[in-house]
Amino acid sequence: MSKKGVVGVLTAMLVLGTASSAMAAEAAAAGLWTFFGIAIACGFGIGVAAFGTGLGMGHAINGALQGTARNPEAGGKIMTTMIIGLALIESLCIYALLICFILVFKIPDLAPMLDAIVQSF
Amino acid sequence: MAIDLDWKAAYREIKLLNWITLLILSAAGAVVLDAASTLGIILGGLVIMANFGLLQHTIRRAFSGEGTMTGTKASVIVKYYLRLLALGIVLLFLISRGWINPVGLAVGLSTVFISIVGFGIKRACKIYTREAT
Repeated sequence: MSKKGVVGVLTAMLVLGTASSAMAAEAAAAGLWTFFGIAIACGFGIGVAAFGTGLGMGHAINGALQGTARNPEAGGKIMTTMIIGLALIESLCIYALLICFILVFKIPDLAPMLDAIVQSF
Repeated sequence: MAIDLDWKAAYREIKLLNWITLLILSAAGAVVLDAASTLGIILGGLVIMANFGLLQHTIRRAFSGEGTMTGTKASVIVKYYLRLLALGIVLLFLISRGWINPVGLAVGLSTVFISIVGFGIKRACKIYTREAT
């Protein structure tokens, strides 16, 4: 998709989102959007974090294995650095997991939200 | 620029730094923050230190110094996922109970991160000091 197309779609989404949030001024609708927002944030948040962590760990292990294959005597030192690197990379995903858990416990009860969804249609 | 990184010595140093960091963070939390935040820092620090210990244990047991696998591939993968699952369950339990402040928990979970950064800075300083003399 061209740049103009992307900008157009994003603008349309923004306008629709703004209009929708204006409509959601009512109590039930506001709760509904909160529910959607938190649910989407949790899903995408941990997804993006896991994606980044996976890429980072993959690069780290790839480099370590290549280094060890080329210079087996340095394997121990490379492994040391790799473990330290993996711990640092993994901590990022743990933060994301923590944030997602915090958000999940902010989600309102499901039953009233489902009622609001049914009523909104 | 030679970096002498023997894992046993490095791990011992990082472990010591972990405890020192946790002590400083929890002491600062006890003075500045409330009890829930301090408890969060302490529990977060202990959880992440156990996680780091298990991570290094799994990798060290799985590979020899030369990089060849000494354990079975399946056991490494199973241990890795079990560790992550246990970490997730512990975090879920801690947050769902509401005994601790999540921000304090996040600070506590940074213990290993902070100590590894400290370890890196310390090593870098040592190398540059050696080069300068």
